[in-house]
Amino acid sequence: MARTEQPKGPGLGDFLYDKLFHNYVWRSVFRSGYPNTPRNQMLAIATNVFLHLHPTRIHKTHVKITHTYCLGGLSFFMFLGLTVTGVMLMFYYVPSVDRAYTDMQALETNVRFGMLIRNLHRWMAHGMVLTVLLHMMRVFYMGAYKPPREFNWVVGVILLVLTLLLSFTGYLLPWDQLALWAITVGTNIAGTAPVLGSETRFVMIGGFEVGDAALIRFYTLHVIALPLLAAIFMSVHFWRIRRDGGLARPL
Amino acid sequence: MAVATPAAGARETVRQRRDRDQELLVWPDLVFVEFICAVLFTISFVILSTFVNAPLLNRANADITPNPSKAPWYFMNLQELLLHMDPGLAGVIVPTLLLVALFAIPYIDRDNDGQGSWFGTKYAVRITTFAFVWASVWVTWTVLWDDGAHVRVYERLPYLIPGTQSGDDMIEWPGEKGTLFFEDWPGGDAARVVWDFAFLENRVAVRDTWEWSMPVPFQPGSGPHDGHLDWPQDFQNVPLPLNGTWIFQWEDPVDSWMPGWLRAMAYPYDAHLDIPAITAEYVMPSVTIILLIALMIGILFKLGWAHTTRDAVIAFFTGFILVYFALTIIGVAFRGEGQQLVPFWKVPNLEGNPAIRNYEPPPDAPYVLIDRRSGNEMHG
Repeated sequence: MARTEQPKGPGLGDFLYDKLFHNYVWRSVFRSGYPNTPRNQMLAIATNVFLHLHPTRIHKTHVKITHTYCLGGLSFFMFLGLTVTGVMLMFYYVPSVDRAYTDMQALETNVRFGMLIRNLHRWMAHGMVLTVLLHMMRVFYMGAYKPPREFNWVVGVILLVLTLLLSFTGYLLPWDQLALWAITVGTNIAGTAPVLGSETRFVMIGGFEVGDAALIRFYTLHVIALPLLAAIFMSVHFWRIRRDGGLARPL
Repeated sequence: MAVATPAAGARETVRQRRDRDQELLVWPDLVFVEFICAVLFTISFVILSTFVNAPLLNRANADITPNPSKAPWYFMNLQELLLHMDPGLAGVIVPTLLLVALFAIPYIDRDNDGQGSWFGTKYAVRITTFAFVWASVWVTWTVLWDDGAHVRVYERLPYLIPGTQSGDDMIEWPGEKGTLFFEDWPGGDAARVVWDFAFLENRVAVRDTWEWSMPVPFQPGSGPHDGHLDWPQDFQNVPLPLNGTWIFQWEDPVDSWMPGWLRAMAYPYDAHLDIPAITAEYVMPSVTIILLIALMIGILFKLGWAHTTRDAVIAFFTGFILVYFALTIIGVAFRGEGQQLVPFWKVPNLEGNPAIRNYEPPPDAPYVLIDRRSGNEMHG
């Protein structure tokens, strides 16, 4: 006797799924259901605070890796990674000439995974400088700065400068020979400006020599001022991508 | 697909038409790509950070200056520029102008053609390659030239041409022997003039070793009049017509109502020009930079490869990127002690420098490292 197909009744899995995801608390957090329908997939993007900078739909060429090589996204991802590892480092680091270097040593010897976090922070910083530069090259060689995206290119160049300054201000913090002399050379370059050079240098390092004042200045710039500025300009940058009609593609 | 063409004179802010058939949903098609990228990069960076440690040299010590002292790598190109021109030009004017040029790119190249596809114009790849090679050759050559590294080639030139070598003496540069060498030739006088252009030695030679003298009936500059106009000494202190003759010359500078710093600015009593230095540090580098860029773009147009502003901008941008990275590489890998050009295997490693490695902090260092577990002071 041939068995006819019977619709299966709800099993234990369905019961658990229903109890887990269809309750009042879950619904208060995630307003759309599991994104397995086009409607919920769009809602998942549109109603999620972390994802809402994306449009809900995107041109199909833009998911090709060779279109962007993910460089802008990777730069942002590195910025997030640097924020996380940077906050971790802040738990162990005191920006004073007496403490900074020994704190670094302690970080490398005494703190569990301290060396790994420090390495991650450093290599991601170098990686971010590289991806930002490569991202700029990608945007240029693709003509993605053309109308209506002119202003976003300008914001991007500002972000490049901020990235370089973030890397630069982080350089002094370990207070080792490499840091001291790299910053001395770097601020001397700034000090060569024709009219206000020496004043600029004085303001940058808070004195005539790289010392305690320079360390606290670079630290504050590195952990507060520049990341804040970068975050503001990044928000504008990402927002403008959508305002300007998404990524560039052939007209 | 229909192409929206802006009317002549209209602002070219054309929004691309949406074509729903060509669109994908961001969840899952894009979000998953981003997620995979993020995971791959996290893994790679964790692996990298597990095996490669960030450097930590000895504690900073203002008494021990490492030789060479270098800026972080992304500023090494600036430091490299500083070796070749005046700090004001290399450290401020050139970077500022480059930054302004970068900002200006979309306002110079406003044509929408070639948007959104790699190397959008017909000859873009060719132009990029040309600019890449052009900039590589010239950046290498100008660095070698400015370092005087080519002088050895010139010095040996007479030995390489058969029948022209006179005696066993090394032919010095610049010097009379070089002159003698050319006198045997037909048209030797003209050749000697070229040979005597000692500034070919390098840019600094214009200021330091290039000398000539010409009889003049008047007294130029300051100093005793010897009836000659001499380069460089008569040009090193050319007074500006401001000296004590300017309209803002105060009767009684001491009791003036003006603050001293403002008075000093309004009364440039010691303003003068050092023309040899300006020539060597400002004029020659600027002219070289401008000329090389203009020549590159001119050649591209002459070759018929470049046709539009976009093409010119591609050449410029490629040159900029190449110079940025090339100067970084030269600064990081080819500058040794005293910022001399050396092969990369002779660049000293700061971590291997005994003066830095063996430095011990003074005994009264106010902070000691305490081992977290044992509570003992840590040493070493």
